[in-house]
Amino acid sequence: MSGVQSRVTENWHQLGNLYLRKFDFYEMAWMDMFDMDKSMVVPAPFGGYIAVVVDPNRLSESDRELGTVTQDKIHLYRPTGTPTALVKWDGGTVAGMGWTQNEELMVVSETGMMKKFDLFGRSKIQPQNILPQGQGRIQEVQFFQNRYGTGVACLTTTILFCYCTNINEPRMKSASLAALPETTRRLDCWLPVEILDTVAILASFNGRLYSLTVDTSEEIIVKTSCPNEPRWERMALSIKTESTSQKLALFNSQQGWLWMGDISAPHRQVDLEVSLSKTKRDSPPSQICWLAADAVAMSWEHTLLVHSRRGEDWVKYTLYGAVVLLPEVDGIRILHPDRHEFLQRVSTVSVQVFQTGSIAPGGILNDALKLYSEKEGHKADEYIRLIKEKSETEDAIKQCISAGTLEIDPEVQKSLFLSAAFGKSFLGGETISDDLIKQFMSSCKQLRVLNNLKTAEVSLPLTYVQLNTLGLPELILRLIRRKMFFLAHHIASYLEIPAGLGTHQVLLEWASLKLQQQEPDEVIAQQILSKFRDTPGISYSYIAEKARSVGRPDLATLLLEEEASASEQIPLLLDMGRDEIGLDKAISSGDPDLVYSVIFRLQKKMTRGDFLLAIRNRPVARNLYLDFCKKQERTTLYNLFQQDDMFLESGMMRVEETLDHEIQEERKKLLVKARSDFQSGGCALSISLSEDYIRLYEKQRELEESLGNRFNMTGLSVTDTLEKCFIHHRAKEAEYIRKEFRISDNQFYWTKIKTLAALHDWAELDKLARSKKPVIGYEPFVEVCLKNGSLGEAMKYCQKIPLDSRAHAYIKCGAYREAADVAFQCKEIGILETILQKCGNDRALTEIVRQQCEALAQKV
Amino acid sequence: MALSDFGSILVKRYQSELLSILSQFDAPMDLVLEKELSSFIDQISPIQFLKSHGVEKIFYLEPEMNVGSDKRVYLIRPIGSNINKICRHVNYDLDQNINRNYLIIFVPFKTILCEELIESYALLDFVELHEWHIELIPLDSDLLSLESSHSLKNYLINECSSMPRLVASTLYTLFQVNISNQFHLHLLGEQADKVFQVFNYLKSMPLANKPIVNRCYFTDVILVDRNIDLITPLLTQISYEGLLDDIFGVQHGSVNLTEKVTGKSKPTKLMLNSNDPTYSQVRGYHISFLFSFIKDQSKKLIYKYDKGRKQTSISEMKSFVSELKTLKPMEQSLVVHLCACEFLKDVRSTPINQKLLSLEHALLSREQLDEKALVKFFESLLSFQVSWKDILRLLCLYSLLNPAPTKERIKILNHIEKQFIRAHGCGHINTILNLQELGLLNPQDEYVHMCQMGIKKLGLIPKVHKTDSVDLSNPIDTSFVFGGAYKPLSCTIIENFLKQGNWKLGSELLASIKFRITTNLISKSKCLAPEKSGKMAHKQYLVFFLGGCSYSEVNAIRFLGNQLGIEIGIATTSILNRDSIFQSLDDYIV
Repeated sequence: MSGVQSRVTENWHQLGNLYLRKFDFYEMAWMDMFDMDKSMVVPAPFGGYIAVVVDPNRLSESDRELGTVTQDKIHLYRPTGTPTALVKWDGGTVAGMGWTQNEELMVVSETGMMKKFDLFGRSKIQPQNILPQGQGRIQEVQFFQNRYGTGVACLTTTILFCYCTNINEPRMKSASLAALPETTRRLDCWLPVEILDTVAILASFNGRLYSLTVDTSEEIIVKTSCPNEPRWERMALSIKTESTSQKLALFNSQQGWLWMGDISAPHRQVDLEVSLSKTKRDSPPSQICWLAADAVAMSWEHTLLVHSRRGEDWVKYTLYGAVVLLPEVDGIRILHPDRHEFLQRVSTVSVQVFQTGSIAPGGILNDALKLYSEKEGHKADEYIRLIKEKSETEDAIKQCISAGTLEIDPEVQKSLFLSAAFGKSFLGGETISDDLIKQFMSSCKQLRVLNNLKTAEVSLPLTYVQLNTLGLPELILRLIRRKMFFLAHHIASYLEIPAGLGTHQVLLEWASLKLQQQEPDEVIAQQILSKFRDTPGISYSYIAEKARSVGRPDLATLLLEEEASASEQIPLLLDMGRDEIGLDKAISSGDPDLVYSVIFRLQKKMTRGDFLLAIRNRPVARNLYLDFCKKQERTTLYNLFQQDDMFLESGMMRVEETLDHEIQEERKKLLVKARSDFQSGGCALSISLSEDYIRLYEKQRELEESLGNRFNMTGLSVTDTLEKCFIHHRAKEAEYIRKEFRISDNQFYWTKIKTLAALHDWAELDKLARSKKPVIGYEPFVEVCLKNGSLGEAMKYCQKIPLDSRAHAYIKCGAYREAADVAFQCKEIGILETILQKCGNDRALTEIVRQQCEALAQKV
Repeated sequence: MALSDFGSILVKRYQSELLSILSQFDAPMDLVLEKELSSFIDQISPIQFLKSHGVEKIFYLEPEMNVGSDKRVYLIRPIGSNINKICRHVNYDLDQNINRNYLIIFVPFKTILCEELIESYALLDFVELHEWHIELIPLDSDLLSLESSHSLKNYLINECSSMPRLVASTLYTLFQVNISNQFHLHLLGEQADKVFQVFNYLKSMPLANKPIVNRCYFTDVILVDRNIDLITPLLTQISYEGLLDDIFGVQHGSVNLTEKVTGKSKPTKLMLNSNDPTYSQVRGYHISFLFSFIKDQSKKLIYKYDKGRKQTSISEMKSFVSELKTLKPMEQSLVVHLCACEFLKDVRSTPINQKLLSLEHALLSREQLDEKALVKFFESLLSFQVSWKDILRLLCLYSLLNPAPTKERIKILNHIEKQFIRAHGCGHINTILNLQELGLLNPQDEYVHMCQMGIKKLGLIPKVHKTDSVDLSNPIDTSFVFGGAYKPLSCTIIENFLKQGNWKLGSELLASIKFRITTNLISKSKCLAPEKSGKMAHKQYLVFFLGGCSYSEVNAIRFLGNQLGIEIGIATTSILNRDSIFQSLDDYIV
């Protein structure tokens, strides 16, 4: 175990308060394939491919004479140095190359032609010209990432900068120094840069720094203590991250002056200025770049010099030949002719864990396990106690896990995870948080994936930090681009990436490739479906749409059959002209909204006849459409009713419509129509019901006229009309209605007393009560009197009510005393109790009722 | 784990969904609420909550509206009349050059019809549409409801109801949060089959990105189509809870008691759930039981107060004062329930209501009724001021329960129907026709036959039926919910299953109306793990009523759970009372 520790720390180099370390990803297979000195080598970040082309500018005279050196081939290498693809280039001299975020190779010729290639060296789109007319040739090209995507910036021979922020829609903008005096036009170095949301060109002329955009050229004052105003010959920007601000480094070789500061405030924010007199060079470095945001690395032919941002410390590495530096988010990739190397800063947590004598909990835990495995149990116990006392066990475990993820050697990773697991067993009393377990598990899984990606077969060398910057879905995309579908599928399900970004996407992309093969539709469909079947929720419609777009509609139909999501499937079915299948699918989904969406689409695209035919035999669709018509298209509704012999529905609709009309005549007309509907439908009851009202409306009109049109009888029922007759003393009409509509005695009588009471015609009411014993009894009399506010009248009728139900009537009148007496007579102890509850504050009454209760109780 | 926890998690989810919609607007904004939604919203996000999240003023949706700030949020159900009002508002503002932002939130989802309607005003560009996906809301610790009563008529009559879809997606949510890996889904009736069809469709779709928290556990879900039992929701309820709903109308688990009931100066809102200790003990019982219960409780209270007054030592006083905190609300709750009870008793004991109830019971017990007297009685009902719903209700019961030959029955029905239309206007022709289509009036012979058979085979009407002789405070079977007169058919079919372990009897019964009962095993994992007896021994049921259920049915199911010692949760599309069906047929009349 101690071997591990020393193995880890032995290649650490101190840089101020930081440590640097360097390790090999691969030995390069390209060793003898080309001369790095004489080539343009452009690697893609995140362990992507490397594009290589001969650079005529760097060829010596003798080279030129030796053979025909043309740039008609661009080689693509994997990160292991294995050649993988060849790009045929017919654009003349290459001015520059670069990679987009989606791993497309961009090549720009001196004449301004820009072309895009995929990882297999194929060009999919037409070349574009990015050189404005009359600007000579392109001298230099730089690609850069910004908020709009991948941008490109060029410097022309006329010292004009032209740039665009997104190469997919290249609208070139030009920026120049036209406003500056002629003499200052000596360009030293330049960079495209994004400061505060604006993309600009940062250019150094004669020791002055300018920020140029289309319409502004602003001088940037750099605060420096350099005695002679230095001419900045090299500049570098750190990679933008969320946590740190973007840093700028400037270098001047004559004075050996290195300036480092904040890009957004160079006049204020100086991190460090150093005179590199000790390493003063005759020439500026061939490359300069930031190591994360912590240090700046510069390469000369035989030296790589790394200078820390804080603290005047530096580390020097010896180089054996030309190298290419590629800044990554957590370090620098160094491509040698023989090695693929990575230089990074040792992270704080690794230092905490590995540094000898560390007192960080992670370090102690790691040591404890070491002691334990060396059979020094008691010492290990002491160490653990140390952590537990401060209840830092969880922190210790987390530190070990984090440090583990940052290691590249699987043995070291394992030992750190063992330490973490060891620590977990001491969490005893404290509960192990879900977070911790999740972190442990997911870190383990990701490391397994990373170690596998690094193998030569896959050759996608990433660090843990890079993977997390890239994101897991993007990793899957990268594997898909390399056509490593099987691996991508495995990783996606192993890391539980959401299906849409993971397994589904892999399968869909795989299937899209399948579609382009020249086999029969059935065979391909079978192959695709056999893979899709175990993946619930995958979008069959997506792949069907693809099949359709590559001109295989039959294959599309076969695939679409399997689509479970009706809302995905249906629009496509309709697009393909399979309307009725689409409608059926919508119906079977059980979602009325979906059915409506199809109905409306069909209505627009089909002829009226076809449309009606289509929905006619589908009850759900038909009912929904009828419902819609009912709300918005009444005429259509009645037409449909007529066509389909839906007489009852038609009649009902007309009855409903009568209620919207205020004029009796209109109502009658509708009712007549309704009756004829009911007649056609043979609905006997409805016919007679509507007939009743047609006759009633006629009678009502007569009445209205005879009453001088003062009374609107619209909407009155037979009974209501009867009531009106009583109110207006139309005995004859009342009698007519009674006969004509066979009003029962009950109802007739009831209506009459109701009206009399409402008119306060107590005398007439009395007469009615006396004339003969009313069919409805006397309770209604009490009720109507009370309702019309005459308690006296009500009490009068109470006496006429038979004894056994009289008590309730009295209660209604609030005459509890009388009610109690009656109840007592009838021996209704229940009613007495009810009365007792109602007596409330009337003490005397309460007493009487109570006595009555007791008396009754005794009798029983 | 328990359904009650699950309910509160649901509410939190709805709240956060609403907040994320509202957060698209900067505060302050106005909220315009469809009136029918107000108590529903109150349940989920009280006004205080809304106000603390940027809502400044709250209005009800009215035809005219010309006040308020420049940001307005409408909260409505997807109904045409609502859209018409909103479009009127927007057009008014446009005419007046008033610049305002509009956000329409549909509960629980927007529909294409509504979008089409807005577009017919050419206003789709002026409003922003959102959905607030509210599914089940908890009414009590064991009771969840979709509260979507407005589609009852559609559900019962039309084939174009969105109910199956709504229930299926609810079921799908339950499926996702269920801890047990598999459960049995029992389908009772045609609509249940439809739900299952949609459920399968949803299950095959990609997982929506809902955070899945396993919170709920059940082993059996029973979907009950309302159509298998149309008698129970027509009956007058006699339990306290049922009466509250029949007479006051319980809204989303609470009831508003007017001044007339409580004698106070303001209406009182009474929450009806198991948090109220008084209510949780009495809700299932006959109100007569309630009186004696309240008497007991008040005696206990008085005893405690008396004891408190006699305390002399400081420590005793302290403990009494701290106890006062619990005594006061207890006292208030007793008073309110007493008032409500008295009122209910008064309403019940009016002669006319007594008569209606006794006819109902006579119909249930299928006494040989004198047809002439019956006609007379109905005629007198038409003259008395009895609500039209009560008359139709009894008429439906008559036609469902009367074993008389069809011809004769129809003759009587038609006579009374005619009289009914004469008294209540020709608009009700449609009500009658709709009831016929529903199979409530002039039902098909098969259905009547099924009812007869059910009464015989399941013993729906207990042999000894005298209201007095049934001990309502200590019931022996589910008939207690109707005073010993009737066991709810729906619950009895379930009871039979729970006791026998199979659907044999239920299937035979429903087969006569061409319904079937099927059981499906739903599983999360692809490979079916063999049922582990130890793990699955603990059964947890969920009974889901499609088309609503009454409080009486809820009580009956609760009783079954207690009697059999099993846990049964209840879910429903809405709570029904005896008027609900008629109300839903009537929505075009008013």
